[in-house]
Amino acid sequence: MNLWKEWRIWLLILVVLGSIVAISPNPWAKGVVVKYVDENSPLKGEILPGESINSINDIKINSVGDMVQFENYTGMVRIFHNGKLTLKEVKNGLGLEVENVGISNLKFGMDIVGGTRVLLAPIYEENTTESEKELLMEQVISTLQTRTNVYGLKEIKFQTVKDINGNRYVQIEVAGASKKEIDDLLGKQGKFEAYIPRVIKFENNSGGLEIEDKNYTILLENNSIKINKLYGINDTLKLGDIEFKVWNITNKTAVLAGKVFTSKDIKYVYFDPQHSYIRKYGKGWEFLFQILISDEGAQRFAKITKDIPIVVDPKTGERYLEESIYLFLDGKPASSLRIGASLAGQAYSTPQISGGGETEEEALHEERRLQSILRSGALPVKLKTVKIDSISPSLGSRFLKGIMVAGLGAIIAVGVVVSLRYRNWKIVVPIIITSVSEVIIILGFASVINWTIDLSAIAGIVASVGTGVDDQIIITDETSLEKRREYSIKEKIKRAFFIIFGTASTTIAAMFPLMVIGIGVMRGFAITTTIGVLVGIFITRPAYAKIIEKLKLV
Amino acid sequence: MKLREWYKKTNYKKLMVIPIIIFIIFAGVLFYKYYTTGEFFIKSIDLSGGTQTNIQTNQNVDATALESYLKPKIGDIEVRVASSIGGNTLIIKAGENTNQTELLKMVEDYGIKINDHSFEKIGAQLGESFFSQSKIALTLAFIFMGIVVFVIFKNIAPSLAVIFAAFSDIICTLGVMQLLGLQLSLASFAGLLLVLGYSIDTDILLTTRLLKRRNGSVVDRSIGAVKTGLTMTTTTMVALLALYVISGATALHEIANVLLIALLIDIPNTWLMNLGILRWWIDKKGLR
Repeated sequence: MNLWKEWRIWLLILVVLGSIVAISPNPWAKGVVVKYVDENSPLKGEILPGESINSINDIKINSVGDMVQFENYTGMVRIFHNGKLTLKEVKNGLGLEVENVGISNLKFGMDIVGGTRVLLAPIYEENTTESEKELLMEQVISTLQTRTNVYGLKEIKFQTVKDINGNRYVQIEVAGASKKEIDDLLGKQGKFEAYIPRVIKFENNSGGLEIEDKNYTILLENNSIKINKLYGINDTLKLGDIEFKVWNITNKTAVLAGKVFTSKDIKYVYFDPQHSYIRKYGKGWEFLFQILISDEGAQRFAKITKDIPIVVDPKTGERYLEESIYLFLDGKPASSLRIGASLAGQAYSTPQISGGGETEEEALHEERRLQSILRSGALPVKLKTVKIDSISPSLGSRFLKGIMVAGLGAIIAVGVVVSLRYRNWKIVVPIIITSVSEVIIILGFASVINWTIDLSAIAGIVASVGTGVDDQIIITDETSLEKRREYSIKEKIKRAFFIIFGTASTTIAAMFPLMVIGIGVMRGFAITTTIGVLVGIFITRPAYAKIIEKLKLV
Repeated sequence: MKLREWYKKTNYKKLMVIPIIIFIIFAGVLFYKYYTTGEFFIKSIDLSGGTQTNIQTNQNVDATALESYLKPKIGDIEVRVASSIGGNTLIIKAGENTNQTELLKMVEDYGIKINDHSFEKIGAQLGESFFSQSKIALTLAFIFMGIVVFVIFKNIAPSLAVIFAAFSDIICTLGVMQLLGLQLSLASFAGLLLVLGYSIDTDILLTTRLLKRRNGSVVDRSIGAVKTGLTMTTTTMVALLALYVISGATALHEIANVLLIALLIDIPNTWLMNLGILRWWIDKKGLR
């Protein structure tokens, strides 16, 4: 038997071995790898992401579960990491995020390992040009990245997706975050505005408002107010260099709210415990944090508050301005604050933002969310959530197990059918080996190009292995069919490959449109199928044909 | 051999009636659907927009009862149960603005223990754009496939026979899907495209054997092609069956489902219809 002299066989063996190296499977892998070191972790600088942790306080760390006991640890720790020893005093945990050492180089998609995927569509204003859209998209992504970093989400993947009509979407995949968290954090434009209302009292349909030592006469006319021009509720107007919005008009009063701060005025959001904290408040919890406002914003505050009358709280005796400051996020009220009398007419630059939740955790989350949104600034365009899918990690791991069982079942079933048809193990064994090699090569290719294996990719693998088995049956039958010795076996195999190239090119032709225009699911499927078919016709099927030819089985 | 004797005696032209009847029946199903509902097929949420919540449970659930329990609370809603080895999956389809947390609570209040769940939401506009893209993909795939077939055989009648078989496979599969209440989704569209690939495999095999080989009689060559082709179809079907049984309510399940139907439909389309057309062509041209 001179099978070992055939380069086609060696090519197959080499490619399979190369693929196994690329996948580097290690189902017995133990230990954890540091994924992320918290900003305020006492181990920051000592332990780096990517290092493995061997033991803590002489307790061996084999999996993420072994780390749980140190979650809120306070005291001295002895950590062996990458063979080095670090001694450190820690308080309330290590501030490390770890994951189990991977059992292979394959990357699985969120529909297999669990997670949330959101597709956001920007809502552009009319007449936005293509190049402007592209620029806006970049801004959107960098803003969202800041937001998720500040919020503390790790392992987040941003991607712009374009469909056939040229519409752009931002696709975000997060491994461990709830759907609501993502939607609240990333789906919001984050437009921040602060208003201070001024009340105008009418006498004989006429009133006045003093801003920056200037007096404006305001007339009441048919449910509108007149300052040079007529304005109704929700109209905006400029007095001096401050923008006002008409909040309310009755026949006795009108309320004009001056816009003091906007997103652009936020210079800094405080995170340190002096300016940002949580406290028990009534039955729930309250958070408070301060932001730093630009000089322009602070000046506007001074101008608007200068002439507001002062009132005295009858209970506490504290002196306040008659009007409060109202903060809005995306047009919705976020909080309102009373203004101390001493601040009237001052350039005030550190307003406090407050809010709350029923539990401490809820309040903390809400605080983090607001801080992240304010820190990253407003998005240049509004975003609309057009698609969400979420799959829990345990459901995902069940999928993966199910798929493995299905794959094994499929191979056995195919083996049984081919055995029944040919009743010759010398044909059955090569067919099965060739098919399994094909799966290994496709997976190896996927790990080399960092291709994510999701459900659609698995469907593609199944599809290409299915055509693979079909082609091997064609090769087998073509060589055995023509019993007369008119043609050499080489000739017969050449004829078999005419059919095989024909079927492969129709399959690729059918998948081609999907590869070009499909979004998401369909595209991965088409690409994997095509890769599989190409691997089949150039590597595995020629090798199988050689085996059949050399073994002279038929 | 029995098959050979039977096939020799039977008029291949009469056998062509069977696939034609099958085609008319399932095309009729689609038109009936269009006539009664205004749509050729039921679309899943990824093509029409809405939310879908999949709930895993070990309990046996009466989908209709749960649906009528939820309907007054949520409005437009549809509940189905898919069973697999891992347990039951409740598939709840509802409008775009359904609150997932509330829905899960209602299902729990109804007395169902939720083991796990997944959630999917698609805007109506995006769904529509997915649908139009899928249609474009299917049309283009069909055209490309046709061009490749023409290039391979360089003959009008055999190429048209292959293309008609593929067309009939897709129409009949859609018809069967309607009868079984299966929805058209992105995954089943991907399945339909693969049907094109698989359906043509056997057609190319058959055409090559009949037109490009000279050993044995036409009947012998036909029987040989049937044997090879049916082995191919059987191996593919058992592999898909394994996938179908185990994959649960996922995209894989839908793709496997569509392909299983299509491969069954493809048997009469290839071995009665396409074979018939080719033999008629051989007789007419006096080829042997």
